Amino acid sequence: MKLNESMRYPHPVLSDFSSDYVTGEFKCSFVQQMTGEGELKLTAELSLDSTDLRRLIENQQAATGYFVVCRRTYFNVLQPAPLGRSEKHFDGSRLFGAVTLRPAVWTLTPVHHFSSPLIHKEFGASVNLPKGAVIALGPEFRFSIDKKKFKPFESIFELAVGEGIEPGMVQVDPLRDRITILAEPKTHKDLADMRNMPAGRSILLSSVYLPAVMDVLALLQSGDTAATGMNWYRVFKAKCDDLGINPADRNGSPLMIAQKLLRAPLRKSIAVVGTM
Amino acid sequence: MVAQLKYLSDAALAQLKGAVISNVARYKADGFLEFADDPGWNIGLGVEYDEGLLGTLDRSTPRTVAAIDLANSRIVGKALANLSPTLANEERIWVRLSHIEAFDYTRERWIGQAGDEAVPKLVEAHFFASGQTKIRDDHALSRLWWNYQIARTCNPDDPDEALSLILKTADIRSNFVERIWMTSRRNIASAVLGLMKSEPWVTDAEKNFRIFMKSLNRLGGGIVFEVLDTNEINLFLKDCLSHARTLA
Repeated sequence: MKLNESMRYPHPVLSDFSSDYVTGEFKCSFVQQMTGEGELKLTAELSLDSTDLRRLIENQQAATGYFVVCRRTYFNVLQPAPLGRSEKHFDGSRLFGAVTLRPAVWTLTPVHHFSSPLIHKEFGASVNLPKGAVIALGPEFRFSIDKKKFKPFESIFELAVGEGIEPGMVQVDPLRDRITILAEPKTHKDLADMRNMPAGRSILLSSVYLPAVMDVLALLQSGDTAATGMNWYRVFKAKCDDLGINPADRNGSPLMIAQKLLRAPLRKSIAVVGTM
Repeated sequence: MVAQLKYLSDAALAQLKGAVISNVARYKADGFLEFADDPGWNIGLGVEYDEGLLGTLDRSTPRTVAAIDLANSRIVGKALANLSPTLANEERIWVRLSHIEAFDYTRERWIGQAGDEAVPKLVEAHFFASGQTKIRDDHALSRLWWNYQIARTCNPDDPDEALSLILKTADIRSNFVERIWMTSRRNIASAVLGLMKSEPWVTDAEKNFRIFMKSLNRLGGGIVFEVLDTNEINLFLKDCLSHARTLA
């Protein structure tokens, strides 16, 4: 039930891999990008150089689009998309590893006596196309979703006990495997307890993690590169790349960048207060 | 009882994998609970699960393994319902679960009374999960989660019924879950499940099911099932069934 180049169909299929049509082309290109909301944004550019197939589409007897397939997550969606440029979003939490895109044109109704002077003569004067038949196939596109980008941002942080810190205050040490937030034993325990409650986590985002990220950004913006060799930096940089942010750019506001990276944490704090 | 899922750091995972032989006694007895709060073992995922429900896994290994897997797949699927398919591909989450939260189940189900020499191989197969095949088919917990997830994908309205059809025999399960092109397309997958229910011949013998799936593969090539309605898909499946019967 796959769609691939080696398949043979009982009807003509316009593709680079068959000579069913004497001339004509189904050209496709894609640009993929992960959004700050964890969605995969696909920008497709589809063009069909075949008057006869375009006529089927205009008459709503056929449609264009592409399959989005991720074998690791059993994600398999046929995404209708018009000819020309289009933009679609997909849930990133349903994708992992290799993703393939297969553009196609398919029939929406049975088409009787379909004919075209450009169809290879072996198909005869006309053919019947059943409903749901692939009639044009574009080249397969592949890319990989970097799983590091999906690491929950909080996974790069660690709470740890730091002696000599005033109760109720924290310090940040970015020169460890994870960005380490240090607090004296009692405060550390309180923070750890809060982290295990959904409401507590929402409050910590604004009160502890947001300033911690700002501290890290200030360090990176100072030109000190010591932190870039730490394990957490790969995930941090990948998140920044997704959002088009250069964390070392001195013109960037640490407050604005930190809020973007943590997806406006104040919203979560407001929501928590709203439930009280 | 809701708790937060945890996972191991890359370093802790590598260390654990490298110490399977020296840890045989732990795998056969008390496990790894003392490491549960170590920083490398205790990274919060930000995803909650039903700790109480996970604790109800049936640890017995009776003759009808399929029946136990059925009940346990429901338990894992429901207890870890918040886990996304993306995260369910992450080995370190499953390794944490099989070594800490569900250690007793994993040990009793997969090690049992095995001798010391057999333990490392069993541990590698069922306590660790590198790569899609091991995650889907071998790891003690992840295979159960994926059973339920695939059933939920095929029939979101009644995943329990879908699960009981898919897990009827080990052979049916492997034929079903390995055909990702079919399994991941909801309308054809749910129609196949419907046929398995209405046409006993399809699952009466493992050979029948294999032949039917081959017919489906052969006749379904290039069909865009997404635009066909239920009746059209059912008619197509009848053709596949007739074709399969001629080959049986």
